[in-house]
Amino acid sequence: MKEKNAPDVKTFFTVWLALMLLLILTVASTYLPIGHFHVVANIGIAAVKMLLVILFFMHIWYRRSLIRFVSFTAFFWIILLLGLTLVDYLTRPIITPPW
Amino acid sequence: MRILPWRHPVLENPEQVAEQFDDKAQERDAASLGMWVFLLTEFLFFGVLFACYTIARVLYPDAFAAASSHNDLILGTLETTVLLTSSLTMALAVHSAQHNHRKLTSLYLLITIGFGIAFLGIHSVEYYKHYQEQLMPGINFTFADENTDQVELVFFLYYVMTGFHMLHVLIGVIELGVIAHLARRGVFSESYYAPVEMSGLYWHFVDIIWIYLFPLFYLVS
Repeated sequence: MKEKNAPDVKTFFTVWLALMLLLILTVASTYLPIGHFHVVANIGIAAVKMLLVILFFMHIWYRRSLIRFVSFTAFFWIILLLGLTLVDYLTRPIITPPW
Repeated sequence: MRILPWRHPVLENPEQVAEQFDDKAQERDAASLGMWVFLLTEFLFFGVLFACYTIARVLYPDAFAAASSHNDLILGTLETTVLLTSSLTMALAVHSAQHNHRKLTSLYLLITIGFGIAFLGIHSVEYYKHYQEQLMPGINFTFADENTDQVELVFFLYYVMTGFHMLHVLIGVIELGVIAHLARRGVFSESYYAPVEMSGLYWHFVDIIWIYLFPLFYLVS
């Protein structure tokens, strides 16, 4: 998206700092009593970290559409895999109709 | 002066575009595209392991919490820090290669390799601790819990996923070793830094896999 090819050193250190803060956040969140939201929070923070690494360390922010499309295909495929698998496993318990 | 033992078209004519490409930008992007397609296959590889994890977690949620309490959180956080910092130094190595800083490129690559070896070391210590606590399925697994079989399954998954991840880190370290050797001989410059960048893509991929492995096995409560 930008005119230049790759980020500068300042951007690298900023992204690294953000990754460290997210790591501290995700470890600290295990000590909060939020029950089932632990999974949501942890996966959510991991997804943000992954996005930061992909966009800036792997330069996807600075690449044209073809490379970006190929790189996001991976996540689209994994979402498809996990989504359809969960559709099966989450609906296995017999759900009786209310009548 | 030949700095590589084989002939290399880009190195010998850095300004010329190879005839199968339209322009220089496309030539540079071709390596990126190829590497990303390879990384897609690696995502395929780890993706099915993550699907296995998802199914097991849906079926036996309690076993994961029990297993996670036996994973050392401090060592896990240390490993994550090491890998994230190694990603930073790898990105800085690519940046240095792109800007003709030969010595800095070598230095950053060697630091990244050091971090990779540190990660392997810490993880091996963790495996040894698990062996001492009798948490290795198939070798000496004893666990005092009501759903021992399920916890054994979780540990199976843990060793397979982290074991393959360690293998990938090892491959990355060896690959970076080759690139660091080439960097010391002064092969990379502003017009030819693609191998450093592609190795960087592989290393960041390995880091991403660990970013997901860490909360899935160490932060389950």
